[in-house]
Amino acid sequence: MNALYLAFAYLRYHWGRSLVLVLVAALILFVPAATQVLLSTSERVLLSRGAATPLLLGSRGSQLDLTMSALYFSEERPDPVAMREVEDIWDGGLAVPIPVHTAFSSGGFRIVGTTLDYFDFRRLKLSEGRGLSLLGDAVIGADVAKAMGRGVGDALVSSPENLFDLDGVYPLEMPIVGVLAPTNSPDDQAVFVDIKTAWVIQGIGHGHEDAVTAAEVADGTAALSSAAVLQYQRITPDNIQSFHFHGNQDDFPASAVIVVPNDTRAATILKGRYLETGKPTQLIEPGAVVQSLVDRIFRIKTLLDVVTGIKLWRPSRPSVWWCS
Amino acid sequence: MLDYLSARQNILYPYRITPALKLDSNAHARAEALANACGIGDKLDRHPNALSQGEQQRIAICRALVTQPKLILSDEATGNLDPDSKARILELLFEQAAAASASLLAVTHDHELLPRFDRVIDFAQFREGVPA
Amino acid sequence: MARTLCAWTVAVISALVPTAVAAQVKPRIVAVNYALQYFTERLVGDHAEVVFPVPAGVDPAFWRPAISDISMIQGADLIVLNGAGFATWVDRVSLPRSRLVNTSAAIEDQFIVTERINHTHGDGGEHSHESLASSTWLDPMLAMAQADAIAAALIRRGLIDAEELASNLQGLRSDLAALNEEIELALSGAESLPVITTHPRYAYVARRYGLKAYALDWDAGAMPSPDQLSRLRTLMETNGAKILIWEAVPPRVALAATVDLGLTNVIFEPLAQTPVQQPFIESIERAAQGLAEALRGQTQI
Repeated sequence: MNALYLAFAYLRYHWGRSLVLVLVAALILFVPAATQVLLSTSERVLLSRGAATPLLLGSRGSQLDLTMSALYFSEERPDPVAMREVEDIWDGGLAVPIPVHTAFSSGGFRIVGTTLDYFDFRRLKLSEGRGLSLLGDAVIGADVAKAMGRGVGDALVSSPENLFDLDGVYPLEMPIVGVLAPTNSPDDQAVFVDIKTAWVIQGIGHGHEDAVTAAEVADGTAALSSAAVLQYQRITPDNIQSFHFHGNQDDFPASAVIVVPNDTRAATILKGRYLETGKPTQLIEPGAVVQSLVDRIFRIKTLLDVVTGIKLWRPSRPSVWWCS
Repeated sequence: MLDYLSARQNILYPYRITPALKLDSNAHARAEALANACGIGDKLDRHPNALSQGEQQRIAICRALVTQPKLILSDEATGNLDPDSKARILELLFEQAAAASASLLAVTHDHELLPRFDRVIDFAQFREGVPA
Repeated sequence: MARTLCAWTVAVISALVPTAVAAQVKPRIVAVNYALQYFTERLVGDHAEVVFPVPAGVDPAFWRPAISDISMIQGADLIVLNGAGFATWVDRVSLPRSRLVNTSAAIEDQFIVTERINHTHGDGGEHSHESLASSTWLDPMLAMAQADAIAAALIRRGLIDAEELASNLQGLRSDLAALNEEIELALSGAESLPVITTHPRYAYVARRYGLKAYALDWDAGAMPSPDQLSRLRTLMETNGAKILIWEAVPPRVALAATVDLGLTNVIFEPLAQTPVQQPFIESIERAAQGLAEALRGQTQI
């Protein structure tokens, strides 16, 4: 009681000093608490996405890059994996393979070329419009719609890239046909297209007389196209029939393949098949990759806690706070 | 003297740390009466650092007397006081001691005060006696 | 009284609900041509509704589905594709891969390349497309392989009980095998016989039964133009063919014109579209009989 009386009198009398002291103490406590909250939130988000994706097939190389590009649509670009691998898994009958092609972007958001199975797998629902139907259609995530201020009936154009150094690959204009309901996952920040549309952007598939020219863009009328003034390509009801793909579809690329095994036994058999180090592909468990990433983050957090701990000890010598 | 307590709070502080004592209106009245007697009745709401050293010493004396102790120990209690105040404070000390039938045990270098005490011990000469 | 009424209502509702649910949950299978619809119906029986979405009079190979067609197809429990380049719309439409079955995947090594088309684009670079003969189902042996693929997909999708399917598949396979034998018998001795077809759809039948087919590209059931007739005459003169295979019954005048050229007319419906008269097996049987009769006529001549 007496101590409280004195403490209160002290704080009231030295109010300025006390205020600084309280603020500093709050800050010292806030940093680890905030780090904890931030980390546990990101850990939850990261781990839930990882756990929701049983297996991931991709080219050999960094497992983290593969996971980040296929699950979180990051900018990492793992070596492409051939669609033959997808067919192999179909033929095996042990799992449903879902290819994802994440090499391109539009307005800062990743274009995710995939199959309709992806929407079933992630249980994505539309809040507006319809799902992917025709070559060139795009369905955008909730955050993309908000950030770009676009919706059904608008269009977006893929960012020009010279990724594969192919001649004559022009950005593709894609009509937005649907907007997804928010999911609080990376799906909110993606532009979904059919993987065939992604191949069109890549230049593997193309149409004839499919060019939209600078002149057309300028005055909105159809003009004779010339390769010299090409701006971007557009798939229209008039030219869609001329779109075709070159080569064997088995050789076409995907960034990674999400593999959804029928059961644990199927998963084990599949993992065994890809253990061979000579194979150009690897089958990984994204959950484990994300877990190791989270563990690493927590090691850094522990370090941070130790540093904060040292800081918290220092106030026993008040000079640290207001004299030095 | 606690610099973050006002003169009044300092005077009444013994009531805070002694469970047997009750901080009531009598205590407040006594504190004010003592302060008035010491000439600091108008400065009770000031904090020590807004008071002179003499005034602070008077607060200390008020604080010693407020609980009406049976024994008052004083070590150079009037050392920092001007002659007028010194006389007044000493008067107060003796009055309080008499009123409460208390003993006043004082340590001082001031020989002028000696005649007012019943017994004097002179440590310099280490002799004991009754003042003449 | 109220309690009795309530009990009755519950009884009536519970009697209605299973019927409504049963009607709703009957799986839907979409096939891209009539032949595949026929095979699937034979295999799945009453367990699913098999839809062939192309309207009558439209060639399923060149059909362009509307958005409403596409969403109906996307919602199907199984989508039966022919492969071999048939129905190119499937390349331009988003379909759920897990519910697709390419019935000719196992017979790709038997595909017939009909022509190679070279072309260039505005931005330079010549490239070529291979064109495949797509009417695989007209060869009963290839049709059998396609039926096997459908059966496997039905099992994978859990649309029919394995035992019942095995028996249905056995029935269809034996019908196709019988059809094959029947045609072989009818056309025995006709090896390397030249025939002219009004459309290049008969490559697989011709190969199976050793016919030498020379293809024109006429519209089914239409009156040929004088130019087309003169091209037909040239073809007859260069390879000595005496038999002309039509996809559909042409105008009487057209038949008379070809008879005048010394040709025997045979109607052989390609069965990509629903046949006018008889179902798949009977339709091919009839065509084979017509062909056999024409051959007999020729040998007599």
